[in-house]
Amino acid sequence: MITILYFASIREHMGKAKETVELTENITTVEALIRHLSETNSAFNQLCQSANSPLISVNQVFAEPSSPIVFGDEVGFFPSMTGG
Amino acid sequence: MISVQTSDFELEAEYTSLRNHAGDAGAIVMFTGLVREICTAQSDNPGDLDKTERLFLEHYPGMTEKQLEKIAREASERWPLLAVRIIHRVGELFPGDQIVLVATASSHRQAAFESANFIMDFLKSRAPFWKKQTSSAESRWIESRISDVDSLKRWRE
Repeated sequence: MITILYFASIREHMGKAKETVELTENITTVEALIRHLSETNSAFNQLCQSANSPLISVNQVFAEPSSPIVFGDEVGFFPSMTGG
Repeated sequence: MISVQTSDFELEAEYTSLRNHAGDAGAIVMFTGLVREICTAQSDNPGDLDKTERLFLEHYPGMTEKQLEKIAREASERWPLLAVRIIHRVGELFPGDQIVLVATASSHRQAAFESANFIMDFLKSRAPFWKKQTSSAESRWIESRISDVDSLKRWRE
């Protein structure tokens, strides 16, 4: 199982801040996780089609589509940052 | 030292504390970011000005601190810094409120100026904070500026 966190405009779009996903043997990378979420959740699919695709973190470190995902990971999806 | 907090900060207390930690510093630079009433982040068209009534600052607890630590560490690797202090406020803020403090201490002014500038540039685009602006007309998430991302390029060597 992994934990997925959504932030800011993406949290509002998804209608939730957090969810858990059971890892299957197909989900070994960020890219595969995104494919899985797009297939199972229309709000997430919509997000991926938009011009501003989300930024991604794994265990609170910026991640790439090729980054590995393992049991217990915390994956974050969020928009471009606007602090300062 | 890094703090992410809802409460305000006292510049004089932060200055004194930084000075006590900085040993034989010859220069201290303190940058304070404030919430502006007029916010143009969403548009470059001056006709679209919208007065901010309040801002809500969301962040990613845990990752925020890690990113700020990383940015401070990178600054310390590039310049001979004696002390670094970063405070970023979160939660509800109003026009005129202090939102961010970046303070650096070094033997010489150039290192203190440049490192504070470097930390602010990276903080804006690489630390997971998001601003939601509420005006009389609406509430909306502020979008990142291309100029903020571009400003990171000048630090690449």
